[in-house]
Amino acid sequence: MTSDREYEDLLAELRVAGLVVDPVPERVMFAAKASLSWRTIDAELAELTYDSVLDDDRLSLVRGATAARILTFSAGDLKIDVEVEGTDGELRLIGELAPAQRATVVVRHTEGTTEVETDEDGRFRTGVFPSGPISLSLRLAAGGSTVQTEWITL
Amino acid sequence: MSRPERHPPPTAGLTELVLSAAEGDQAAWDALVDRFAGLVWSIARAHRLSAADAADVSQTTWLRLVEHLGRIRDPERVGAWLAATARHECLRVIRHAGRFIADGDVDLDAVGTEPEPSTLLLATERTAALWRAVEALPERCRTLIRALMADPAPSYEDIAAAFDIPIGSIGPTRARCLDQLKRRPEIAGIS
Repeated sequence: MTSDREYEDLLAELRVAGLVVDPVPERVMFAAKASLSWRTIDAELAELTYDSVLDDDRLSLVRGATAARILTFSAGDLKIDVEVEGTDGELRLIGELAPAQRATVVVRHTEGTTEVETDEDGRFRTGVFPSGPISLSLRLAAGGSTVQTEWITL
Repeated sequence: MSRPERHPPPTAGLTELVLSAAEGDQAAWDALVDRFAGLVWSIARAHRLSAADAADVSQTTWLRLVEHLGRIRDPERVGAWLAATARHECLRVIRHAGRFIADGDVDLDAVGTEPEPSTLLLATERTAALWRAVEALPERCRTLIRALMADPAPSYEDIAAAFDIPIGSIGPTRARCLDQLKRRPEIAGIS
């Protein structure tokens, strides 16, 4: 019978092994600490309410095909549908706001931001950005309020 | 070998840190990162994400906490919140990667968490052997043990949130997995 103390000692030894062999990379620590600078106040949060990657029904329909990833973010009555275009390293989003309206769409990504205006039907196509965490910030023309989507890894 | 005692209890002052960080207090935020970055990283690596994917999942997890700072219902449980968020992001990344494999299955071996050979050369024989023994465990054990290896040591509550399993199951599973580990040939005769 092994005592709790022996398990704890073995785990402590394993913890040291983890620190030597697979530590949190410094750039990961740095990025984590720097992420507080993305803090915003007074922006409404649009939650991720659909991700085709987690949709088993769709997955079984398109298995094997290179179907584009589709995401939906929702904040109150506002829906933001986007399709992810491109491959690793160079991505862009094709999107649409419902209800249709004009807005400035800012893609926030690890290397900065890229900005685009929607057309009068609420449609937009962003510039390219690198893969990694992204979030959309929308300044709605009507009312001037700001909506931000949850961050997601693309 | 004695138990490391340098860390405060896992839940000390978390509510204060979260509330201060929500006000933009960088020192409080840094303290949260210092406390939980190891856990988030270990969860990503426990899911066998590559270093690049683990870095993305880690960053997304922290950015999600930034946007949720003022909305967290129970700030004292921020570790469990981070663990669950990291797990969900890992699953997304794994499933998205699976898309590009012809038969649609997720090929976990294709990503792998093999350390750089040079890293293992720097480690002592015992450390390298322990690492290899963990890697050789059956998947469920390897995953749990890798997450428990996070530094600072994670609470059972955080680990339960990381894998969506009952807290009560962690102790017995941990014991079973560590017993298996001790019998691995990789560490036989190396002390």
